[in-house]
Amino acid sequence: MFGIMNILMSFLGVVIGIIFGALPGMTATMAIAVFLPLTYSLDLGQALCLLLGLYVGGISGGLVPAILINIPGTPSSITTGFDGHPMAARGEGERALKIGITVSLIGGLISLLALFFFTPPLAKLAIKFSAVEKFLIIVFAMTVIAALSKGSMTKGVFAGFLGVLVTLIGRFFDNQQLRMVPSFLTVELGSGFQLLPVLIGLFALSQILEEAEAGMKRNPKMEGGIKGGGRKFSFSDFKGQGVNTIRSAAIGTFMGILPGVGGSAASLLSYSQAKNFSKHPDEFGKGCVDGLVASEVANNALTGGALIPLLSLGIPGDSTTAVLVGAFLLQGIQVGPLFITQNPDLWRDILLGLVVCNIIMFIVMFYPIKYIAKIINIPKNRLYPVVILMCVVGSYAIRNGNMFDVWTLLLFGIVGFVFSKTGIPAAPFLIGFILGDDFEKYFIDVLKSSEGSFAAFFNRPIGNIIWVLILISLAYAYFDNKRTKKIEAQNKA
Amino acid sequence: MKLKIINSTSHWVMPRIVMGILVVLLVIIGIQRLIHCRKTGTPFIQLKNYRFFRPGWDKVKLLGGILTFVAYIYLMEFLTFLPASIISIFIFNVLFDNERTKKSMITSGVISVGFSVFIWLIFGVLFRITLP
Repeated sequence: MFGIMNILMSFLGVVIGIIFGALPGMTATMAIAVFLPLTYSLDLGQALCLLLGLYVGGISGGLVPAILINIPGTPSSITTGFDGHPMAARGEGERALKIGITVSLIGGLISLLALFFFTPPLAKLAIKFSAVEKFLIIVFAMTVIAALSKGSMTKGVFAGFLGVLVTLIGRFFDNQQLRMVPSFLTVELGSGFQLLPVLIGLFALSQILEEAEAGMKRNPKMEGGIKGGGRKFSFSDFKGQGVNTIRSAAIGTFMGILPGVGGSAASLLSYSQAKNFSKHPDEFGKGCVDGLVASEVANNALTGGALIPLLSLGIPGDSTTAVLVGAFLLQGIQVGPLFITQNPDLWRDILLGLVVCNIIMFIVMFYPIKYIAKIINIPKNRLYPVVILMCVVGSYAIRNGNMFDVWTLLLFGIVGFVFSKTGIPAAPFLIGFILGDDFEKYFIDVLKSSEGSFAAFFNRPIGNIIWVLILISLAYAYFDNKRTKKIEAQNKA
Repeated sequence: MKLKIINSTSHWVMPRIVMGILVVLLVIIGIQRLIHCRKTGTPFIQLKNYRFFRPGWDKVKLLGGILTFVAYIYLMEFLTFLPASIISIFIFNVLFDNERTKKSMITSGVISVGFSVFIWLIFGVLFRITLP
């Protein structure tokens, strides 16, 4: 039953999410990773409401600093500042913020409709999947990661397979043999690295290390208030934005469905499409409402889209939903094709939770925007030690008190830091890490049932369709990568 | 093509395949870099101008942060969660702050005691989550 506790948890999640989103250097993914431990003692419905609230709030909060100080609070609001900040500079800060908040709500709700209509049929189709299709769909997810790692396709795939290799460390489920475990860590690493410390390390601790390397500089303070002498917000600002909104919501939702794609890619694509289709493209970047709408609709539409492959196929759509997998696993629930039929109450709670979180986000941000804007003045160097404290608590408690998991947190914090230095994307690594066990399981199952024959991978009609999708995705990856590198070379010249 | 799965060695099938794929990918990355270097006329390995850290990186905050984290883990083993957290969070606060005034020290102290006790009460007492 979706009760008052669920609403309270949604509210708590949204408020904390907005704070994380509004502070540059802190992201929605970090918020979810850090607050996962709080869900240990909640029932799954309430836990999901808290996490969905953090997700929606975290994505939405990013628009505040993007508009007011031209620094995106989260990667997904990267294009929000392009037009939002020029509006603020000419005294229309409040108007820009209110437009952004309103279209964020619309984007979130449209993607929710997509989630509601597309997830059950996709899950129904996926129920018919044998080990062959399940294996191939993971291969497809890996190739999509490659296809969308603009200009760094090989590094994206490398990260994905490295994640698979790391998850294979420990005991093999089939013959109970240990592999890749040093003799002095057989007890600690018997069941491999735990997901939670790995993801907290990659997405929270590594971020803190990067900020420490940069000297923990304060964000520029907002000058004056958000009110200026410019044009005031009115709902007539949305006149003529219908097509732009629908197109941006469709792009955001679709990009969310594709594994490994973050909100930044969604908002960049949506922004560039809005500019291409605009009758006045030269106004983009100078405080054009169309650009602001395109960016904010798309990044919030990503939230529902990213949940579609997670709840129908068990494949996370982005790094934040990859963290949500951790929440399900903590509660002993396997996400995948059977999720909706086996957990109809939970499915309803997720849908209701998303509606409630989006509405709460709107109410919490739209009316008291004057106060919300002040969040960006909170010194993040005072928040990071508290985040470290919560990271440690979460990692330690995952196996009811195991200090090895805190070492794992530190290890993967440093790994995430090295990744960012060497241009290896962390999201494909995490997706590979999450899917690695199933990748191995289905591969071995297929070969066992076919007495070792690889022909089994090509004998099923749905499987062959997935093969075609894999080939299309690889071809796209190859040509797109080539094109991106050519453009980069031209830009350098 | 066939790959017979033998139960006693089946745990090495996938790791070997993935390691093979990773080696191939590393070779591809190397070749891509080689082609890029030939086109732009830059050396394949640039040890002289190579920078891992950003220019002017804050050694005290980064290395101090990592060392404090390691010390925090050991402190939790010896002092238990609450005292270890108060000490470590205070050090993190002082380390990450750009000021060394009396006021900032007091703020660091208040944050470290306040949040450590708050987290301990919420997680350890209210939710009964295992803490060191």
